[in-house]
Amino acid sequence: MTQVLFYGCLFITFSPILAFFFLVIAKNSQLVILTIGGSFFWLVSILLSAIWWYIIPPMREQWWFTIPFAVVFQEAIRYLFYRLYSWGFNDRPSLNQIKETQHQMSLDQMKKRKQVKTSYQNENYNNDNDNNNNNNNDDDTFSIDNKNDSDENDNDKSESKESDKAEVVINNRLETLSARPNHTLSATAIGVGNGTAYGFIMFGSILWESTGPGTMFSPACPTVNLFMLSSIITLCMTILHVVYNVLAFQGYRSRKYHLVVYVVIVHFLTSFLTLLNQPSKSCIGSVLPISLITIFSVCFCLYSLLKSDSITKTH
Amino acid sequence: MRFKNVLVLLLLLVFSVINSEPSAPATISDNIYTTLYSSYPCTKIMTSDGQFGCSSKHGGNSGILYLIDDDESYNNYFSYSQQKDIIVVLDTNYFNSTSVLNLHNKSKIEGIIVLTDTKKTYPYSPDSRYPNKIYGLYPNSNLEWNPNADGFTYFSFPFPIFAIDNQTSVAIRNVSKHNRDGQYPAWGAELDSFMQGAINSETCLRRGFCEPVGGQSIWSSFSSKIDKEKEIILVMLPFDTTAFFRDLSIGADQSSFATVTLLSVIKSLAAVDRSSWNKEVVFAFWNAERWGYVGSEYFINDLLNFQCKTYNSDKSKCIDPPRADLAFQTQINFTKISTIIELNQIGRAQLDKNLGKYSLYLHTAGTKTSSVTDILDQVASSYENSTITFKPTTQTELPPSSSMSFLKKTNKIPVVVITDHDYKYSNPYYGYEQDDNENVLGSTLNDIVYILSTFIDRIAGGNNNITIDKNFINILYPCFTSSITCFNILMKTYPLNEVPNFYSSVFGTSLTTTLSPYETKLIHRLLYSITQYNSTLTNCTSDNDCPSSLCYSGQCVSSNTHLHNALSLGFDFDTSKNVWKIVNSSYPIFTESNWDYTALKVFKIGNSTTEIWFLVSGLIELLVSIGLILYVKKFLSNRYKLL
Repeated sequence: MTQVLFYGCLFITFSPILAFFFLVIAKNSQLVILTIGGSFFWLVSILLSAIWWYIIPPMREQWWFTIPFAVVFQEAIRYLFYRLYSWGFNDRPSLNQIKETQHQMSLDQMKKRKQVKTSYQNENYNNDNDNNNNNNNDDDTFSIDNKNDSDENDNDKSESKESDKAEVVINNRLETLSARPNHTLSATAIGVGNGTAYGFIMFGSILWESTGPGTMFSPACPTVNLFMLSSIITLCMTILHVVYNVLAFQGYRSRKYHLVVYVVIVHFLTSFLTLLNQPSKSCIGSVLPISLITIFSVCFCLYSLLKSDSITKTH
Repeated sequence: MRFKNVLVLLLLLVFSVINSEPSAPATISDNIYTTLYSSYPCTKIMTSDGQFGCSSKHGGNSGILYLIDDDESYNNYFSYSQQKDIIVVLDTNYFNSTSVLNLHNKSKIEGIIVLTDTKKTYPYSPDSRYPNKIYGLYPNSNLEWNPNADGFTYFSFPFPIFAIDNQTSVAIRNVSKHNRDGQYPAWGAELDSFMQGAINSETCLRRGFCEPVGGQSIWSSFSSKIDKEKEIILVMLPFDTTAFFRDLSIGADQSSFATVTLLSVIKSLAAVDRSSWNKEVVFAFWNAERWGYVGSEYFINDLLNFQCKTYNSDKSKCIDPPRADLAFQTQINFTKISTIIELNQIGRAQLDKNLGKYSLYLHTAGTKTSSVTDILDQVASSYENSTITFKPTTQTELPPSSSMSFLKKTNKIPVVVITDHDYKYSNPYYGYEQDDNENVLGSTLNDIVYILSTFIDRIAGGNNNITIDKNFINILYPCFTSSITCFNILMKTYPLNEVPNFYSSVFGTSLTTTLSPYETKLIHRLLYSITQYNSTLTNCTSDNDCPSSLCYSGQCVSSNTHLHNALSLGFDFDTSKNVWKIVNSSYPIFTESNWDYTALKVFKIGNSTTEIWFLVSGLIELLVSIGLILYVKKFLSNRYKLL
């Protein structure tokens, strides 16, 4: 029955975040890089917390002392990563911006073509196209790869061969590779990085022990399986890490600092709620509020995204 | 400069942190599994044509605890859910071949934990009815010396069996009752005693997973060098013991009572004037005798047949064939052995209600035995207030004893074997863990020591008044029968296991690299210090400082005390392949399997139904998350730029 417990805990804890990773993030290399970056920065913050915990021996068993510093380190590192992100990405055109430009360009071309058709002949067409290429650096790569791509896609050949020279065809794969995803999605990816790192660091080592014949029971509730309890708490925590990051990034970006304050408060609150799992306290008192806070935070996050233009705006 | 100071400060900080580091924090598996350190596994012994004992699977057997402490729970076991893996917790009364083989044959069993907090209510021996019959003097005898035996030791079990000490037994009994009441969470145990050896001794030795059972015999004399012309009185006993759980082989009646007696006799004789002795007295403690009289056979064979081919430089050792000590050859002449007195089981002298005395029995063999027994009777009768009387046996055959090895070579020596039984063993727990200090009569010890000391003094030619060393006996007796934690000054080490355990253990990895258990070393050093004839004024701190002597309380001490190999003549060491080989399988061929470690852990077990539901809900959660993400991607992205 031990393998059953192992896989049960594995699926409960990691299925939302891993499903999201494989179905959304893995499709876009930029998002994958951001996820890895998110994991790395979270690990750095935990390393700082660990050092802090280590260098003050008398307080090692005093969790109420360690937790606030760990939260502060995480939030500080999150802000640092935000600054890095904005420094690296603000100048990059987003996917939608590229699309818009492309769209605009093709509209311009059509206009020009119409003008050419009506007034002159085909000679000027090439010159115009060259001018367009000079305007946009990315177009070089587009056109080169576009040709390769069109060779592969035999089905589209008949259409594309004609349209190839006529207009710039947008290659979705290449666009997503080179362009910046929208800010909300980037923040989510970083959050997923935080969350997975959290899950594997905090719960992975515990999870491995569940493969043995024995089971550990919660010190607070002696009849509750600690592995199950931890997996539910870790599930909430991973989702919360995504929410923290989306909200915090949105708050920094749009200068709505009440969102950042919300993140810090919830982070403190949930972290201290886990202390209720200690002996002679209540594990229900820990897991139930954390679950409710998670549900509320997800709803609040979606609400604040919809209220602002983060979701609806194009870049 | 300032930077340098900061650096020094940082370094200091780091060092202070490292130094203040407490013991490693408990890991999660430490919190789940409680290792019971006072657990004693059943191990595996190979013979020439098979194996007996127990072994777990590689990695251990685990299951839920099920207590069998009465007939109801025993019968319920067969109808108990056979879906689960079960570790049976056996009350000691149910630990016998009938119950265990019944459990094993009729249902599934993962392992057994044997409790020791209660005592068996009936006499029981897991050994055979005639111990060592085929290696003795009468291989076709019809006698049954050990009537309570069921031969349980000689069965092979495919599951582990562990015994646990008294205190742990109480705890395990409680949690097993907890399981019986159906309380949650249930308790389980993991028994890990994987034995590497398999099939039989030959295969096992070839694979290098076994070592021959054996050890070191000890012999000693008061004389600094035995006069080869003088007659020798050999006072001896087999000092090793057996038990089903070999870590618990106290064998109080089986051997250790006699060992205490003989050591005390030697201690009292050490104080007397021995100048009038006209015979040499040699005291011998044979090892590995329970495995086919291995120690005495080896010694006799060396006395009769040993030829050294290559000596070392000062001729104190033999290199081929290897012998670390050649004193047996230079000092003992087999033909000069004139009397053999063997102390066998003497811890349970039987009360003769007519005389009001405890009686020991004299089993005699060879010639002119009456000359010896007469002196003993005389000594016993002349001692007023004696609580001990000696009676001749009604049996014509000797009981299983080391003297048989001598009688196989010659029947011209008078042999007297002193026991506490006339025919059937009066020891109800021969070869069982319960053969402890409660199984022997400590009150008879002083009288036995006095009579035997006087007796040996008389037959050696002396006529001294013996005073026994009661302080010495009062330390030695509890030490050898209940807790071997005495004489720590002598040993400078502390035993791993407090239970005195005289199991011979394995001989060693080769003829020159021998292993000696703590108990053998203790007896050797005790004997060495008692029979010391000369303490030079050389100061020492350890034995290494003293050439050909040992260090006692800061001074080098010489004694004519020697160790001698106790190894079956059926084994030889193949130096070219560096393995043990069997050269003659008509001798006892017992090898003990190697193992890496043994462990008994207890832990709590979760509810399997809950675990299955947890897994199902996890899978549902996975499907829901995938569906939700796909839905959002497909439909909501048109309206919102979500994904």
